[in-house]
Formats: sequence, structure tokens, C-alpha cells
Amino acid sequence: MTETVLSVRDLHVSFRTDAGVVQAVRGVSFDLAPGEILGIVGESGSGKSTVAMALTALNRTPNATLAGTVEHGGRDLLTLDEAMLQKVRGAQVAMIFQDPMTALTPVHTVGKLIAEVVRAHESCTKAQAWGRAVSMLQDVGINDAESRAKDYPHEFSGGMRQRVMIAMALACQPSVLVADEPTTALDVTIQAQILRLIRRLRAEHRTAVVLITHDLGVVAQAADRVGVMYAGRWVEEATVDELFAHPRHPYTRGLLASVPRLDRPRAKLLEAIPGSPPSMTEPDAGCAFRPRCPLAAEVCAQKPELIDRGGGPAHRDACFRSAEAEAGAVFTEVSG
Amino acid sequence: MSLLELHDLEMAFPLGRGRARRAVDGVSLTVDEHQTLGLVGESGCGKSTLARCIVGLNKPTGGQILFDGRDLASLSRKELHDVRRDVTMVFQDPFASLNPRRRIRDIVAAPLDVHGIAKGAERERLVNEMLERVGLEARYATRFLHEFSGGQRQRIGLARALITQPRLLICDEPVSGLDVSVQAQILNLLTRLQDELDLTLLFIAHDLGVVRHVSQRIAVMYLGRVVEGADADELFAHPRHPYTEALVAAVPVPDPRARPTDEEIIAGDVPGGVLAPGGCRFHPRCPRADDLCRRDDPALRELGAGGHRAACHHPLGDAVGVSGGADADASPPAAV
Repeated sequence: MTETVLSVRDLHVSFRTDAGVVQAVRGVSFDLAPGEILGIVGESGSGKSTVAMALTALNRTPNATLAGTVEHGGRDLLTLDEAMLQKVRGAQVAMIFQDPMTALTPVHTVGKLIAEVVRAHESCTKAQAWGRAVSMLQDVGINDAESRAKDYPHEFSGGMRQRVMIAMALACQPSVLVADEPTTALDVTIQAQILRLIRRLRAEHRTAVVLITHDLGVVAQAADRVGVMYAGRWVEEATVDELFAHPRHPYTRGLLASVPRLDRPRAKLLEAIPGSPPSMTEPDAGCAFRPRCPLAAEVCAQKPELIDRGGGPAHRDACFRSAEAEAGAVFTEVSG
Repeated sequence: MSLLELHDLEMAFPLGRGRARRAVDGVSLTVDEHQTLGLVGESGCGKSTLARCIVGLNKPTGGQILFDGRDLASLSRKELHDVRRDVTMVFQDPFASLNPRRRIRDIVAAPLDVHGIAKGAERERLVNEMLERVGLEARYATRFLHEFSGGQRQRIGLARALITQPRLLICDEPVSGLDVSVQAQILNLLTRLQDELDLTLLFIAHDLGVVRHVSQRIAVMYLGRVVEGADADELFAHPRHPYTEALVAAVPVPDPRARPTDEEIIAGDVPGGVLAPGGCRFHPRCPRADDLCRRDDPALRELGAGGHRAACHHPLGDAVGVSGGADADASPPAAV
């Protein structure tokens, strides 16, 4: 077994709401190796962000129930109390979000924001913490870091703010960085810069990264390994090369076929997946993709297990009919 | 036959003390009848402001808008009101652009009421017909917006925009709020409706894959200007402007074998100041910039056959090395 820095087993997250109990995450397990970038891809409501938050129990609100284990550094983070979790968050497992403006306090300079993270987790003088802040800003590619550290978040552009967020997250050398849609709010030229930065920093610091995104292009460009989520479940997992070369789950295949791609000739119509994802208040029965799946059969009323079907590189899928799916394109439907 | 022509369109927003932000700064372009012109660019390039000028939501501060050969500025209030039947718009966020307190029937029928097109049973018939055309059952007509998913809401927005049987439909980021599987459904719907209703489309989006999929011709905007225009396939196969090349290279392709090299990732941010940089607006980020680019603002000029135009002193793929600040100034600015 290879070394793991984070190990998630049978994670379930549900929320009590006025509309009923939303079972947002329905049994997710994965391992993360040091220095690895694991992409989690899925559409809205698939539970990918809920998984991200649950890694440090950030979503353990009064109406939420978290079950399963998140093992890190020899303990289960989900059993820790808030005070213990505060010590883990930022120091060992750090997080960056989609919108750096709402995640950065506007009333402090960015240097102070980063220095505060350092002071919260390490015993050092103010001057030492400030020095670390400046060197972190340099590290994430902010020119003239010494004087920029004295600027406020609003004085930075969107891409630069995301760099500041990354500097803040990495200031205490965490072993895991959870990045939830870190480039979704950015323009593509800036997105490319940020993805490159994340790849460079994980190589230099050996930080493992969980990269949450809805964009198949982003995972293909940045991740080493990919998990695909649908309706709260982990439905497929493989290395990035294997997944994009041989997608097996009909959902993954449908998702890939529905993106208009610059590297393929144009077709008049796209292969859309019909219908829409199920409501997450519905009970968990059988394969959740069944109502939209062109290969759905009687067997799909049972719950599919995530298994490796062998015969090649490590590749797990939760589909009874993945062999048939891989044998041919499944979405001929081009609904208008 | 061109249906829409913009000549040197300018939209400057006053900032006080004699300063102004020129969101659209001299744009000329043509949209041919029954065709789709795609307009791409990153945030702040002026693409949405341009759309708002065409439908009359902003009053341009300079230049001309010709619809079907008639200058919109020369029309009387009554005539302009009638033009609004022929030029309609779909927005990015249907929840923000449609009234949540009105029933779907009344949302869709509003243009019929405003233009006095139909009342009573005829009004209802037209609404039901249009709802079915966009893929919604007529029985939904009495429901409210919050009862629908994002994709369905966008179908409602389309129904409202199309109910007056417009000739030109302006789509401003119509699918950017949607998941990819739903995005494909809406793009296919648009393709079908364009055929059925003989529509001309001006399609604005930041996603190059989406724009390439729907457009015959594409114009690329940067800081208020069109910097390149060409047939869709030609633009992606042979971009001439360094900005277009960088934009295309930055699009994350869902194929891990196609990761961009460090050289392909363009540095820097879109300048955020009130005034665009002097000379060529792109020069601070351009790898090809020289003194000429810092001094002279290049005009859009014809480069080779097929109406491929770019505003660059040193266009890509130019073996002869045509550089002509003087030349470019002498020839009248071309339209895309």
C-alpha cells in the first residue's frame, strides 16, 4: 500500500431542511498520497463541495450529520472537537475557495492576513510572521511583495487575490490543500496561471491537493488522479490519463461528450445527457443515474459497488454496465 | 446580406471630473442574416455593454447601429419601439432577468402585451405554442419561476425572447450558469430554433468551446475593442492576434495529453485602470510587443482571404513581417 496523507472512508453527509433530509454525500471513500493532486469533478448538487467542507468538518452545523471517517496524521478528524479542529485547519489541512473576495477580510492588509495565520499556529514574533507573509507572497508570484503586503484585498485583481489566498493557505506548510473551484471565477488566461501555480507549489512543498471543480478541462489540465461524483456518490476513479482515455461510467462518458471541445471538429449538435440530476431528498436506491442512462437495465435497480474490473491500470467504476458503455458511444440522443 | 451593422460604436460611462470609462471603444462589426456571430472576450472587455447598446439598454455615446439598413439613432420613439420586436435578448441569469412574482404565462406573454400583438385566447395559444417549442409542457404556464431548474428557466427566457418572432436574437452568456449536461441541451435547442425560426444570432460568451460550436464567424474583444475577427474554424486554426492565440491556448481542454506549456501561458492581468494602455492595448502582456506597439494603436485590418482581420502590428503567421503603423492609419478601419 502506498503512503497516504488523507484517507476518507464511507463519508456520509446529510442536512435536515424544511424540504426534508438532503443526503448530500452518500458513502464516499478515497485516499490521497503526499504531493498528489486529486481532482473531484461533478455537476451542481453532486456533493463535491460538501465533501471538501467535510474534510475538516467545516459543515458540521446543528442541522448536519457527518458519518464515516477522515483519517489524517493518525487520527479521525471527524471525532475531534472544534478546538482541536481549529489547530488542524490552516496548519495541516488548508482550504481555498472560489471567491477570494468574500474569503479575505477586507479590513486588513494581505500581509497581516497571512501573518495572522502563521501566528495562530506557530510560536513566532510578529516580525517573523510578517517576514513569512512576504516570502509567501513572493512564492505565489506577486511582484514587489514587500510593498504589496501592505495593500488591502480590494487593491488586488481577481487572479492576484486568488494568489493571496493560496499564499495564506500554504503559509504553515499544510500537508493537504483543499481547493474548491479555485479558478471558476477567473478568466481563462488567469485560470491557466493559477493552475500552473498550484502544480508548481505542490511539487516544491509536497502538498497534496484536493481539487474540486465542475470543469472537465480543469481536472484534465491539473490533476494526477480523478474521482467523478454523481448524486452524492463516487461513481468512477482512475488516473487522469486513464480516465480521459477510457472513461467507463455512462455518466462520465456523457459528460465528456456534452462539452463542445476546441480539439475536436465541430458537430452540428452536441450529445446532451437527457433529463436532470435527481433530488437529493430522494432515498438512496439503485444507481442514481439510471433514469438518464441509455444503458439502464433491470440490474441497475440494485446499488452498484465501486469496483476495479481489472485488465489494465487501476480504474474503479460503480456501474453494472460499464463494460458495455466502454465498448461504444452511448449518447446518441440529441434532445433539443 | 447584413442584418446588423455597427460602425465605430462607442459607449463611455462618465466617472466625474471629465473622466470616462470607455467600455466599448470604437467597435465595427456586421452580423449577416441567418448567421451566428460569436463575440468572445474576458471580463471587462465590453462584450455585454455592446449587447446592451444594441437592444437599447445603454445609449451609445458614439458611432452607429444599423439594423436592416436603418440607423437606430435616426428613428422616432415609435419606430424604435417597433424595432424592439425584431431585436430581442436572452440574459445569463434567468432568475435575475425574469420576474419571480409572475406566472410563466405572463412572463412569456409580456412582449405580446407591450407590443399589442395578441390578447385573450390568441395570447394563450401563442404562449403555449412557444413553451412547447422550447421544450416545456404548456401545463407549466401557470407556475412560477422558482419551481424550475436552471435549464428550464433558460428555456423560459428563450420563450419570452422569441415570442415576438424577432429577426435578431442576442444571447449574452446564455449557458454560462448551467451545468455542462444541461448546457448541451440548451445549445442544441438554440441550434434547432435558429433553423426553424430563421434567426440571426449574436452570441456572446467567454467560453471559447461554446462560441466555436454555435458560430459561423467570431470576433474577439479586448479592452473595448475588437482585436480579431474571422470564420470560426479559421480563427481557431490560424489565430493572427497574439491575444487570440493566448486565449485559445489557455482554454483547458479535457485531454491530459494537451496540457499547455509554460510558454503558452500568458503573463499578467487585464489592466484595470480607467484608461486603456497607450499604443496597442495588449502590449503590456504581449510577447511580441516593441516600440511601435507601445506608441501606435493598431487598427483592425484585413489579413489574407476570407475576411480574416486583426488589429496587430506583428500578427502571427506573417512571414513577410508586415508592419505598418502608417499603413494601418491610412486605411479606413475594417469591420468584422
